[in-house]
Amino acid sequence: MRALIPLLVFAPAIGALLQAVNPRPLFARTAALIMSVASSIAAILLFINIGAHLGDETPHFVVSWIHSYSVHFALGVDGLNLLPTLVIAIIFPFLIVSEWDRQFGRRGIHALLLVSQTAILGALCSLDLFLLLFFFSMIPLPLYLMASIWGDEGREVSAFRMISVSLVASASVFFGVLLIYHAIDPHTFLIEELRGKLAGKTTEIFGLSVGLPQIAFSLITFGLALRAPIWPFHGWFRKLVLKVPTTIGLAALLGGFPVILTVFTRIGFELFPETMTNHLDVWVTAGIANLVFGCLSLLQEKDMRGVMVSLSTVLAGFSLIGIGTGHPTGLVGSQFILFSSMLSFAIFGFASEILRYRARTYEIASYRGVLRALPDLGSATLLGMASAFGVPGTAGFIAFALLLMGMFNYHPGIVVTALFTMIVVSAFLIQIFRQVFLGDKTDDRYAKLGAREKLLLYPLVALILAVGFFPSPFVDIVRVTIVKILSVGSAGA
Amino acid sequence: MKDVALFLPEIYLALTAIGLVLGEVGYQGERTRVILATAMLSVIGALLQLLLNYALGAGRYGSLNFVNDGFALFLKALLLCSAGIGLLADRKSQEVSIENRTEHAALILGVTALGMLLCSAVNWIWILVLLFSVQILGSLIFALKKIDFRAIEAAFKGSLSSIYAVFFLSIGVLLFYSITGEFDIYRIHSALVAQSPVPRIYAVGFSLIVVGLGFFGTYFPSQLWAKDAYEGASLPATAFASCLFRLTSFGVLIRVIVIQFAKETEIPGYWEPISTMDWTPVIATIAATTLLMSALYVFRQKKTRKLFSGILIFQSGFYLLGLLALDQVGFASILFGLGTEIFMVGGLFGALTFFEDRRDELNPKGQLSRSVPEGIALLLFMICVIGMPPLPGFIAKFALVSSAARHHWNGLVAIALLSLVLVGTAVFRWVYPWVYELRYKNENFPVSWSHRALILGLLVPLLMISVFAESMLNWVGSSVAFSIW
Repeated sequence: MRALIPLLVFAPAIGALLQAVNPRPLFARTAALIMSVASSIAAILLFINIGAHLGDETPHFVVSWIHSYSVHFALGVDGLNLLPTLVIAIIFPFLIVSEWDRQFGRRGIHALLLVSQTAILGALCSLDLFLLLFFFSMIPLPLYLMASIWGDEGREVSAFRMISVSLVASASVFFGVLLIYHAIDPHTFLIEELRGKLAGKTTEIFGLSVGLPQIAFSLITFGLALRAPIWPFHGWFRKLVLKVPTTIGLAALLGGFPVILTVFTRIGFELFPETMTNHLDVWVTAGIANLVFGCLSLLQEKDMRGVMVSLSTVLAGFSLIGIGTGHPTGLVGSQFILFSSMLSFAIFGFASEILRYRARTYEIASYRGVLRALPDLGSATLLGMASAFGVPGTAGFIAFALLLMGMFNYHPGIVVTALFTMIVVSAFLIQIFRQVFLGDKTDDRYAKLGAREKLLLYPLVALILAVGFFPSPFVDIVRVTIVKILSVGSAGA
Repeated sequence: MKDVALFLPEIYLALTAIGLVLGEVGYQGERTRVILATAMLSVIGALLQLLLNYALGAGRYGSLNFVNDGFALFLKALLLCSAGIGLLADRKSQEVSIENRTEHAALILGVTALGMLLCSAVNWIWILVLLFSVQILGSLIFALKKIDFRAIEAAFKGSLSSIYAVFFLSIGVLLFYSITGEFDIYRIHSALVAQSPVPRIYAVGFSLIVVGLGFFGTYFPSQLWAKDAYEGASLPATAFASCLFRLTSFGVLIRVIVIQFAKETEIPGYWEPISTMDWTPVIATIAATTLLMSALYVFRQKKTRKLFSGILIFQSGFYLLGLLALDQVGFASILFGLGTEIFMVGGLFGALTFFEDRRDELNPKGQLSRSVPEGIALLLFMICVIGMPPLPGFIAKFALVSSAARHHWNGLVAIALLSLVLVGTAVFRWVYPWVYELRYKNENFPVSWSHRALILGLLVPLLMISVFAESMLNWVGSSVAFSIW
């Protein structure tokens, strides 16, 4: 099983290289799809294996890379990162398929999507801080190029903002990681070896003595918050997504808060358990701020891509509150929110792209009566939306149920806030659905869905329903790891 | 006999350079000329002879004025690689006239031979003479460009700064001579340890030497000439000369700092300043100022050549971070960075040459779409320069910054990272017009397979260094360990 982990991460990178080998369209795009799917299959096999051996040691792939600096090529999959890994590995082939017929630069966009897939999965699975920094710094590069090349008018500022913020984020994480590395003797980047060794350490900056857990954790958190993006650092993300096709927007979204919050949970609870638990209120407050801001911004959205951005702020807020509860159920709910929201975003994003292909716009006001022409698209979108606000029978319901239970343990007042937010979000999403899909058909722009378009939607809808009706295998895997991390963390603290 | 053997690589290169000049003098319009092949054979031959020098073991030679050790051998190998890349890149540039190629090749070989000697010199008289020769001849390469006033100005500025460099160095060296009566850096060290000089004289002498070497190490406060010179010279000349100057200057600086101004601590592989004056804050200040000034300069630039010349200066600030650590790991990180830079700068300027030579001024946007492989290579080299993954620029920058962090120069680390962000931002702003409109089908540039092979060929070692970073670091580390400090 160990061998599946490098396959999971590097199969897409090989696919990207293959784009340069043979320019024939059939070869290039088939190679891209096969390599992306190979990564998905590896993720599914890992999921099955971990589920079958629940409680056993999870698979790790550790090879010494730069021995002089004690850098290891350490990749691993456990309950904490398995769900985001699985869903990202599954969604990326769909992104490849959605760009199957792009007229210009198809090989380029496929190669860059594959590099994104490698970087995102690498960051998710890294168990070595150097390797994490390596992949974390790599994520924005393909996004920058994709946004610069295939973005809409005005993309220059968006792409530039994105890369500037990413550079600051990488530098901040870099500094934090360096401080951690040099605080421990013998130096190491391996999270497993660093666990429980950072408490009480101090370091000096400009002659001032500061606590290592405070400064390193703050630097890493700041860098991650910039890249996630979490309110109030999310301006760049909105600008980016509104200027690019939804395929690229989805890649940006997948490499954003789902990855970052997973990494944050791991680093926070494994390396800085004391600092993390002492600041639970901060994460909950930040989560609530994201909920409020996301809701307010959602209410004034006029663009399908904007809806995705605002919704991502809301869902990141929910996930942050889950982390802030510091309770196993809340943390499992937080991970489930990431999982279900990615599926919802994928469906919503593909639906937006299908509509744009027909109507030549992302503006909500320009659609009407689509359901009559495209009932299957309408149904799929409705299901994706339903999962986003936690309707029973969908993956989102399980996520919100777990999250609310965790929140109740933290403070019942938070549950009220969360429920109120869910009502506002659901009302607004239904309003969008009504405006876009219901009403009389006004024109004949909406041609029937092709086979490729159906392929983009149906499997994801099936997955949302499958997880909604059979959540147990997913919940169990996450819960085992979360309980383990929290117990090790509290022992270390 | 052993001494002659140890000088063989330099002799071989020098003889080839002389042969090329004689061939040029006797040239009577023959169609077949084998300038490049002859020069490349000489570089390969010199590389093989370096292996012989390695087999002869560490020791001093040439009346104890030179030293044969791992550090010198590694730098010499890098210089030869740089010469090889310079010779090939020169062939591909339209900025260098066909008539000047022989002079170009002869100068590259000659200056490389002198640079190699400089890397192993341990006597100040030899260091000064060789440094001056390397810098003057290296600056002459700047002038070998198709008629362009800026190239002449570049050569002039280079030559003038070599005079300043030697002036500052000479005064610094003479100050120490007045205290110790020695020019040999090992003996100066012994004398300084024995008699504890007046701190003020020591400080002035140290500062003058550091400032003098800074002219061609291109760090603050002596770097100002470089950005104009690098901007005015042809791209292959800039790539070669910047690597040559930095390799030789940092080679001398590390050796002088370690041997003359530091002593080994009880822990093997670690040094500390010898006298009561701790000069590490001086180096830290120079590093911080170089990084910030060059980063701000780069950040303001919109013109390609100015941006690139700023980036070349920016790199020096990072190498000073490695020096600050005063241990083998720090020096190894400098050598790793220099080794990476040879290929990185060579590839970057090689790719840029391709586009600059074919640039259509009427349609400057979306150039990369007109030759995608070269364009991707250019982007990758650029990413490597600013220390982003996956190429080894990331590892090199990490190793250098880590050296400073290891000794708790955390403020300096913060400045280095801030500078990196500024330079990265400037680079991505520069990249945008190149990729703009890449999605539209522009008319392709005619393919030059040899140029493509050169550019992509330089990507291969970089990728190898990234994957086998450990082997490279081991090699560098053992080179530093196999040195006579």
